Amino acid sequence: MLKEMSKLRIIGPKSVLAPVLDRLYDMKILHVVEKGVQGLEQGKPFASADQLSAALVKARAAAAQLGIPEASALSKKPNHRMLAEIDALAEKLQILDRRTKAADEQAASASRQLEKLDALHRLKIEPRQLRPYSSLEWFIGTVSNSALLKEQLEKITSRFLLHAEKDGRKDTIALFADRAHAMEIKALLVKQDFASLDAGEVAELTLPDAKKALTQAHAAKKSVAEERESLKKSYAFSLPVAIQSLHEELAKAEAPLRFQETEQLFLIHGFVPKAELPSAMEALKKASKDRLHFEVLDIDHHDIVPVQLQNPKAVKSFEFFLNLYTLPKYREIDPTWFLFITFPILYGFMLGDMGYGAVTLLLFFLLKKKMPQFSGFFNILMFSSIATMFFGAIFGEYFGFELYHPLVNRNPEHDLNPLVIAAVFAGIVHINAGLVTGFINEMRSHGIKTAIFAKGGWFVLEAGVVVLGLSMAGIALPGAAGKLAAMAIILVAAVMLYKGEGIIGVVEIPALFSNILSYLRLMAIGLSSVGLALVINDLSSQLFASGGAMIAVAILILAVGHVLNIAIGIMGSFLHALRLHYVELFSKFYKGGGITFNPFGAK
Amino acid sequence: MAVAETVANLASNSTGMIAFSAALAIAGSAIAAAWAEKAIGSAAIGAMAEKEELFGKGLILTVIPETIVIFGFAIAFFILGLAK
Repeated sequence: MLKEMSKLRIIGPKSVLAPVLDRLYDMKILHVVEKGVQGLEQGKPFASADQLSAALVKARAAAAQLGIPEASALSKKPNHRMLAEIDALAEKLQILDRRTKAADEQAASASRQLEKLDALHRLKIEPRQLRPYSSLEWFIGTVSNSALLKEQLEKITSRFLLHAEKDGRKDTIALFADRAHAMEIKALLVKQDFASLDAGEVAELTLPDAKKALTQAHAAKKSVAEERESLKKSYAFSLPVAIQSLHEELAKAEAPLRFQETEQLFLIHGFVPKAELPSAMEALKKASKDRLHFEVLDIDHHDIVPVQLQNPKAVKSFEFFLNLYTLPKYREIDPTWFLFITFPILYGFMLGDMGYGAVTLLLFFLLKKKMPQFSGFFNILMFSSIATMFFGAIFGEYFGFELYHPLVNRNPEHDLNPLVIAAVFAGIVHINAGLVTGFINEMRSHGIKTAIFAKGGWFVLEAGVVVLGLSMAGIALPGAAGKLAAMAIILVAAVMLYKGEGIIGVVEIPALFSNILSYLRLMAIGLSSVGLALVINDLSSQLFASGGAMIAVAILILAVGHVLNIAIGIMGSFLHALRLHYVELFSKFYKGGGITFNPFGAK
Repeated sequence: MAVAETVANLASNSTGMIAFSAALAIAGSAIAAAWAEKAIGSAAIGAMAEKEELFGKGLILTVIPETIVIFGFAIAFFILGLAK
């Protein structure tokens, strides 16, 4: 069922817009539409919108920085104190950020210096030796091969001192050499991939100094982290409330963009569920001190009316399938009831096993307890499991074993024709129910004439086929007369369909039969499931008979086999039952494309 | 040799031919359905990656060719009926 909607126009002086918006936001019953009276201007947001949105951005950024989840059920009117507090928090966070950055830099530079001091220490050089000399040039750094370097240096001059330290793939060196040969030595070093350590930077430093600097940097980092943590603690509650409050207030402040206005007045257009209209008008009157004018307008064919499905609790679970596909348009019949009745039947027809039904019922019950957020989905599966047990009783199947002679046989060893007939019969009933629904839909939206041509044509077609069948079977009108009569009826049907649905209708004629034959899958999926169960049972009973250790193997095969078969069965039956609805059934009446009722103030 | 013998065996025995024909009906239609679903399925996944709400419609389009194998099954079933 779809909730009946009323199209409402609210007109009032701008002075009462703010309280009216507050009330509308809390009630969450008006689906605002932007199209209104032609020639009127679009409304302007409240002056506070800019400030609110800036504060909201700041608050959200702060929450993200502190790792506070935004969700909050509480809200209050934002005031100056709240805004000031957010500003102050943002500033504090900025300072903390800067301090973190400074501490990070300090730590990085201290550990770099420590590394250098450490390298010098390994080369047995005191940092204070590294000062400018008049006759000496020094180089500290890494080269690719210090032995080779030494050889080449000796060719240039004998006045040098080279300390080398093997360090992984590179050699760390300290070279003191005659300044007179500096240029040549530099060229040599370049060839040796010399990378300077910039040791001059640490000339004034001692190892304890550098260590102390590093400790200080770490302490600074820790204190910043602690402050951040304490900020997080003190804002863990108030910040989400502030965000929620700002969010609500901003939604109200920007709402006039979807309204219309004149110099003095505002106009709001929207849809309200008809049942809630009187109480809504009463509440708004009160909020505006009776300064509003309401107009309930007629809904015409151009209106895009939002839809809200309204079904009893058990049926409501099946709305899942419509949300997955597309919602009905406002004037269409809500097919949820259809799904509620026929989905479990088709599913049960396919899986149809007392044992499987009981196991899956228990499984889905437990899963529903474990994952309450998917309870609707599991409700569908539980209804389907009950139908599975029902069909299991009809087919006489208990985990693939045939305990008694079934009402309708599904064991491939016996005659399967009744099953074929049952499947096709289910298809004929299902599709005709769809056509009847389509007839009503068409009548509602385009009148009785179109309904008779577009949907009634199918019934005439079926009548023609029935006459043809009866004649061919020799039951009624045998011979040429019957065939001619049938052809005439079918021709009439084709003409009706052409008038009702155009050339598409005529082209679709064979589809009616392929759609009905498509219900043979009810038998096919079931048979494959029964076949697997039989194989599992046969195999394990043979093993049971051989006794001994084979009994353990037999139990394993039984357990794994049936679990696997149930898993395949659930998936296959679910998808095929769904497909029979979406493709075969819905093509007879369902168009969809409705938009969800999304009232002002809803999340 | 073994294959030729099997085929000769089948051909000489009408029940074998019937079983073989049923298998052919199922195999052909199953391959056809799988082929069609493969192309539609990958396109549907592609569309879903762009717009998640298309799951329902993608599912419908993907399962449409399934009818092919159902028909194959029906034909195989009726062929097997000849053996009795």
